Amino acid sequence: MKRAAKGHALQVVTANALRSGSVVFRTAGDDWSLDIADAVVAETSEAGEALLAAAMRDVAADVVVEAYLVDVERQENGPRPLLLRERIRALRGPTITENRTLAPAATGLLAAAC
Amino acid sequence: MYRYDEFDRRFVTGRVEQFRDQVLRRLSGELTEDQFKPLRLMNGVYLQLHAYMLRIAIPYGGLNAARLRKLADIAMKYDRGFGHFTTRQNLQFHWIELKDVPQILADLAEVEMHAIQTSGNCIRNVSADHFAGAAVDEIADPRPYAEILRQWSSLHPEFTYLPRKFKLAVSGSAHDRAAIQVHDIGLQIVRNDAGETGFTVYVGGGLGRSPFIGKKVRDFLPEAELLSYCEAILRVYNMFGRRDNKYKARIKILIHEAGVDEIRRQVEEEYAQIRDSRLTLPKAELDRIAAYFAAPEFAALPERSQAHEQALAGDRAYADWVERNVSPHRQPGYAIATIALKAVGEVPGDISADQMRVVADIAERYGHDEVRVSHEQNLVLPHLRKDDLPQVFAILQQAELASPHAGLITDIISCPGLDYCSLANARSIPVAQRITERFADLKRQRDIGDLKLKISGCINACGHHHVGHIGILGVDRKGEEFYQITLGGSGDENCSIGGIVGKGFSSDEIVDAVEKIVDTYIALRASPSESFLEAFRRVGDAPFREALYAEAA
Ligand code: HEM
Ligand code: SF4
Repeated sequence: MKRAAKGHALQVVTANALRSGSVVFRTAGDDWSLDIADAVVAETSEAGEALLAAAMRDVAADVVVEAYLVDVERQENGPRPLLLRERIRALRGPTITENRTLAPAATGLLAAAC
Repeated sequence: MYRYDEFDRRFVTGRVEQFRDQVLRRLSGELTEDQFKPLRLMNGVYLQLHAYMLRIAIPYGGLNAARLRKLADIAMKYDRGFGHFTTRQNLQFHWIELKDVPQILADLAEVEMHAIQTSGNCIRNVSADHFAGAAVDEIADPRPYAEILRQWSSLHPEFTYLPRKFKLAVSGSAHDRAAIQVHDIGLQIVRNDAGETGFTVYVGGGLGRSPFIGKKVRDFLPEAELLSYCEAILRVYNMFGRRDNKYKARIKILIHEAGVDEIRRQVEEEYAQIRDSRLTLPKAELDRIAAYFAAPEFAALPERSQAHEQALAGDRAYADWVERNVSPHRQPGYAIATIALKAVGEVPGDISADQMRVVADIAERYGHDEVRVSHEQNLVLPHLRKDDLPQVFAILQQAELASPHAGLITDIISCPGLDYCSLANARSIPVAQRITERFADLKRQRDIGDLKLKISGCINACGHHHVGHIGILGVDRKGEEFYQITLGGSGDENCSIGGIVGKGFSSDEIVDAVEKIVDTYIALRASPSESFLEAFRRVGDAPFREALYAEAA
């Protein structure tokens, strides 16, 4: 998988929730949040490894899957991943508008047109 | 449409219950992720960028109203109100929760659908011409053969652990609309001099990291020997296909490395052993399956329709739509309509639940209850009366499904790319959308004419970029999205793999680059009737290269 080269970047831990598949971030309270703003940021690579080790216990406990470290920078509204892939994951959705059904059913159209 | 028999039904519902149990055991922690992952993949469940994704098989792209409505219900209940049609005529839901999958599969089984063999190293969904049973140029309907192959390949005990995935496609017309030459086995239905039906067989086509056009191994395979010959090919592949390197495991690499003559020899040898076995297809069995695909009871109609011609004369929008999206039908008074799922600003291949229901209603009321998914990520209504076309158009228009650009530059194939896919290097959907916006002017699109533009977000080539007249491949350049352009690819009977035109373009530059290519074509074409591909094949890539890179040089 794509990760930035090892360096001294700040890091957060991400994973997917087992049940829903949702992207989640490890929080300071040893829990998981959908919002990267809640993520605990590891300042050193040792702290990052420790954070990941703790997260792996939740992998073993079948709470999340595929936990890994993500390089971030700190911004006003919270950590921002350096890689686009991780920024899109942190968005909780695609960068485009989905063609969803939001309006009431349009099947009345058939009747209307006939 | 094929209907499940008792065996099919037991097999599919049995699998649903088995998977229900597996999901429960996973959620309770009884199964580890390592144990569970292969099981979920066998049932079409991937973990993508944001969520689980469920890939549902649509054998040879065949849908009806009941199936579409069921997909719409699932989209509303378990997903975000939409689905995504893929280049393999399947449907993907992008926002599925694992806990819901067993119930979704149970719901699908009610309409004889499933997600089995939509992932993993097995024989995948068999695809076929989306105009099957309706095309004017059809020699024979490919669906009965596709169905026979589906039955043979479903849970085939010998072929559940192949070196890699294996894809088959069947075309029943001389004009290949199913991209058979870029499949592991491509079958072209032909008639020999004696008037018998058979297949020209291509093996080892594929895209991805190393694209290859299928090699012809047989000019004429008698139809009764379809399964024994395919079985022989699979056996040779299963035995000799590489298992040491996932990137070299497809049959295309085996053929490339061993040579087509050697593989043909081995296949023929294997085939000689089994040709008179239980796999020979009795005529009665062929007929039994073919009966499921019998043409609907067409009315005896005159070829010309007054309602249609009046609308053509009086309604410009209708005439535009007919010109691009309506194709001739083999039955007088009937027509085939393509619903392009790429209106300006839309996501290629995406359809909302409401739109699915509208299409279901139309199919039921006007279309003999048949809908097809095309590998170009569009839907097709194969059997419409010309008399009903104006009405159907009006309904489609209200549902925003009447975009009149089938086969034009904005009828783009695009994979989900980095917006959804965990393997992606770059986004594809926003590029597709920006191209449709740039070329939104229909007059300009029509002036450009037939042009297939295809985009993949990584080298796996799910968006078929190698066979796009213009192909765009997303790459990662030092953390930036970059796009490589290939020119001159084609996925039809004159199959070719596009060549890389030069260095890639940034996200900001890519749409301008496409426009430059198009303008260059317009300037050099011999006449407006010379298509982009014809012009490219005449002049080569030099003029395009020059237009794209001259200033920089
Ligand atoms: C989003 C989840 C997807 C994943 C994880 C995925 C994965 C892959 C991989 C790994 C390959 C390369 C396989 C190989 O060369 O052996 C591939 C090929 C392919 N996929 Fe996908 N894909 C996805 C979605 C799609 C979609 C949305 C489409 C249709 C638009 C599609 C259609 C294809 C096709 C046509 C190929 C060509 C394979 C060939 O001939 O070599 N896939 N996919
Ligand atoms: S081509 Fe790559 S990015 Fe696109 S869907 Fe396939 S695997 Fe994902």
